[in-house]
Amino acid sequence: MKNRLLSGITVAVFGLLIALVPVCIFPACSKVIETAAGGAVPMKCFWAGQAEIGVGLLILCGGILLVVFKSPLTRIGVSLMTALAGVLSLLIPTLLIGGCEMPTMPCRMTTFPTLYVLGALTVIACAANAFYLWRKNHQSRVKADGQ
Amino acid sequence: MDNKPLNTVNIAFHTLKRKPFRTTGLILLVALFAFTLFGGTVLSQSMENGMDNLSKRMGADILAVPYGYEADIQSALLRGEPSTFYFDADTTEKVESVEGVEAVSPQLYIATLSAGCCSYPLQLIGFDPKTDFIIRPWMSGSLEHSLADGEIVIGSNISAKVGQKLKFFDQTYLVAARLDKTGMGFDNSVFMNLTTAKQVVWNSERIQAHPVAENDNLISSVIIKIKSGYTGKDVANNILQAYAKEGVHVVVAKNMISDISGSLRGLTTYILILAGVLLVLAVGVLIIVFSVTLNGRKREFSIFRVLGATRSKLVKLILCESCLISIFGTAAGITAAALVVFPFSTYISTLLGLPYLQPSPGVLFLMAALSFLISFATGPIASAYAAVQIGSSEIYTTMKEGE
Repeated sequence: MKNRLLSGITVAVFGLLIALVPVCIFPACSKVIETAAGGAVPMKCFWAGQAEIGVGLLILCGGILLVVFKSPLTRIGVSLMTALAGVLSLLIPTLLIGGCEMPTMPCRMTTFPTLYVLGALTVIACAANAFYLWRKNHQSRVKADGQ
Repeated sequence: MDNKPLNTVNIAFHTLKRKPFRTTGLILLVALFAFTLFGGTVLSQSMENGMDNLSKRMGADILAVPYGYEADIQSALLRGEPSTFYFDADTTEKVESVEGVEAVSPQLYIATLSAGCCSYPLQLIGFDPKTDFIIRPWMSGSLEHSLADGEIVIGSNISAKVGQKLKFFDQTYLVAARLDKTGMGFDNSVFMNLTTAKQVVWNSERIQAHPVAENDNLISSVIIKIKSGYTGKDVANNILQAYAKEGVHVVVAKNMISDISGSLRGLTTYILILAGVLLVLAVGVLIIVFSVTLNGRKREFSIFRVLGATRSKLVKLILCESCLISIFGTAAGITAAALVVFPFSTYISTLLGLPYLQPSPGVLFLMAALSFLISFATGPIASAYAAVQIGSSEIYTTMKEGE
């Protein structure tokens, strides 16, 4: 019960923070690019931020599911999927969408570094939880086989 | 402990696990110390590196700028904040004639509206390759020929490769070289010769009015090298006496560097004081906790002795507990500091507003290792007294005291 709450709440908080970073904690660049036709489109870091909101909410749901489900095998599955969502949150600003090129732009200075740290922590927390649950499950199976 | 062997490490680990709150508290305390020590060291070393680089690259002894723009040139040099200020180009000849002046070179500062690469205003610096004695030496490693018309040299923060073209005010310019990281405002600046700089200004005229486009005979600053035997202060006074009325003001490089050094020293002192206070706090709290818990565990240690544990085994047990606390705390603290200091280095340098250049990976590794050793030592040092005390006590007395 203690592990369930601790791991679930920790992951949920990371997910919530990932979703909130581009919205209000460290918003991405607010400037727009003027197109040749005279229109204005947001820079790509804005879209990276939007994608991170979705991934953050997914991680938040993963955290809630870790609290709700009792079966260790289900929780291992949820942990692994949430860890992969954490990997996705790292890939969005680095490879999949990216952001501004200049290191002094707000997205490169604050938004992305915060997302890297939170994404890495999510991956570590979920992988550690999956490993812990797998070992516990393995030990209880060995005990049951012994009896 | 399930099937694990009953060795010192496992017993110590089990004891720590039995008191989760106390253990977490002690680990957090050591972690806080390790965080401050490593984070603070990286921060102060980076600022020191930035400062050294500023002194090395400054080159000029005095900068002549229009009156009222002394702060602007400092923010352009230190942080690369785009600035625009102008006075007559004949100031160069006037300043050259002042006693004590050895060499002079004009510079033209232009702020872009938004660069095609990143939609962010940049500082464009035009210089005269014939008379320049600051910028050319930096380029000696990266640019073989003299900077031609239409060619630019970019700072390390500007994302373009050599051979690529960058667009300013609807005109493209060839990137001839890229400077190494300086930790100063030059990282966000673009350098070009005066002819190209004026070309940029004329192109910008289509978007907004520019004083240089109206009057071709304008420059932003004059860099001055003084003759040996003269001091910066004397030559600055000579310039002011002669041309202050014409709106010429001076920034003495040595004064600017010593001002920054002063604020840097202040910051480093605060970091050292904080690390010192945390070290004393960590060692003090650990001493108290180990002494207090030792009294409560006298019966436990007596039983270990009755079961055949030697005195050295008990000493090892206490030291092992403190070492485990230190290892976990130090690892957590250094990791947390690394997660703050490295990804947010650009943000930190912007907040500080001082030259900031992170040390090389080798130096950083050494700093991490040193911080680890110092932080790790807190646990064993703090528990040494308790370990000696329990090691020298008799079984019977300890058992009686523990009852």
